[in-house]
Amino acid sequence: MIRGERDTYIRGIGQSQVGRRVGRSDLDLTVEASLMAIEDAGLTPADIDGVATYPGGGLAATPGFTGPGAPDVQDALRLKVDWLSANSEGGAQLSCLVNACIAVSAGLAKNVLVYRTVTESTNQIGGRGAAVSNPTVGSQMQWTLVPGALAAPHWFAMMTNRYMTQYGLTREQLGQIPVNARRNAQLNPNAVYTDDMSLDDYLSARLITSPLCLYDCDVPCDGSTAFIVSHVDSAKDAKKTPVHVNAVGTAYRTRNSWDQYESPTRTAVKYAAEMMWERTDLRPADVDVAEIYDGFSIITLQWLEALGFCGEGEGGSFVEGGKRIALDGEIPVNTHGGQLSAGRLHGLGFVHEAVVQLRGEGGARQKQGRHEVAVAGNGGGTFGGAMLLTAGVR
Amino acid sequence: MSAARSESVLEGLRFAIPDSFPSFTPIQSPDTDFYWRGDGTALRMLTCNACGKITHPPGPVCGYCYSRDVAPKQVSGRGTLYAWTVNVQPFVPGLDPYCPAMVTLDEQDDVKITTQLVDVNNDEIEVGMPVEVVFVNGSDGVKLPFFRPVR
Ligand SMILES: [Zn+2]
Repeated sequence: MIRGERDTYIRGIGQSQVGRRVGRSDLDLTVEASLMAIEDAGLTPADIDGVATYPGGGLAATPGFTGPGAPDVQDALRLKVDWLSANSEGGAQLSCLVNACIAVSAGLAKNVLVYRTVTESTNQIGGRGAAVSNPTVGSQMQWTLVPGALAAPHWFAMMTNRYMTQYGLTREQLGQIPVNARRNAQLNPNAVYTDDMSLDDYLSARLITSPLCLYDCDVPCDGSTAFIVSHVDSAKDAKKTPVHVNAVGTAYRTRNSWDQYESPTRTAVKYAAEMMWERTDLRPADVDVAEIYDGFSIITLQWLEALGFCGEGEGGSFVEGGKRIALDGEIPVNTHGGQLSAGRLHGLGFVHEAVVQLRGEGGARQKQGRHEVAVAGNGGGTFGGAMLLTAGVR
Repeated sequence: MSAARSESVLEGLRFAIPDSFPSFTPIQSPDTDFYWRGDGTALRMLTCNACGKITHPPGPVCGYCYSRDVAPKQVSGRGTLYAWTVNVQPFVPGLDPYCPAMVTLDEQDDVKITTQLVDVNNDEIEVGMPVEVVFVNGSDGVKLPFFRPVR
């Protein structure tokens, strides 16, 4: 099997100021994160010959969602690039990283700047729902929006309701995911929410759309995350531990519309994970930390199952009590606090944290003992993307 | 004593059949107009004349046998509640709590329709309950197939 992703590694990372209502432009945040990543890689802007982002500028979307387009960043940093790319259809948010790997492996570029920027907090002060104003809708979205399933919380609430009915998942079990995220966020100086949160706080939190409460939904924020993806030939020149791309999963093997999945355990994330494991000899037991999507808490449960940490439908009992997924547990999950507490950096925040952990740079939240293999999972529902990373080129 | 559980706000809620539910308007298309813009008396689903299967969402080809000999056909309008949620957060200003739901059809249980459950009390809703179609006016002449319990 050709595994072009193994020609590549993450050479540098950067993350801008992250917070609520930061009030800075998306380009400003992106430039901050990008220059940080270039510096972290031991490179200069003159070394960057590719740019990739998700989803790209010019996309019709809710305010603050897209971040600046790749050409805007190319121009702001006066880059001379041989390749740039943006797309929103593919292996979820981390498709931009996968595209960078492909470009490097194909020889189109040597050092690709990859970024994902959101300014949803500053731009959606009236609430996310207030942004739902488009009166006509086509394509697959019409089947959920027109009858009144108006936003992602409704789709994931119904998925959670069905999952609970089918597998006996309880709110006490599900609540371990946001409670764990908050506990980890308290050790992360860049996290948005760090107040104490107990399981009781979760169980009595404001209901959004049953069975989802406020703490099942991630926190809109402003911030930018950036990476430099380079060819392994240059790994010896890297300033920091090279983080090798061992395998990616970009599969799309489900129905499209959010209401047509075969079951709540068989969404895009299941197939992204399946493909990732098809491309490696590493196994779930080899993974030291899991940085997996939590736009809604049920998605983390779906990732735990999809990645094979437990069986299909067993996610509830796996997270029960919270010990297994804690920082000192069998498989630490979302060691930075996830999007539920650290902020909705929309996917690439998980990859950033995976690199931090593999390098041993986590400070108070560093996973103790072995930290050689990390998995990052992005997306949920229709799109999913997975990436297996190792400390050092294997 | 700990605070009331989140779901206690649902106690006593009832979801009536609304006069209308103004929402997004589906774009007009020869593939989908029959579903959204019927006369509001019967549920019709895209059905294959070759293999008899219902394809949903509807399109130009059967999702089972790839036949293009497909056409809308009336179904019983009966089904089973697959999943539901009660929306409390007013995503649109002034929106009262309501019950987005998913229903599978009696004719073919892998066909799921996103809809609303109406004419029902919160405390009687149960996944698996039998339901039947009732049409409610949407935006711009659209007839929305909602469902209520079979009594
Ligand atoms: Zn057919």
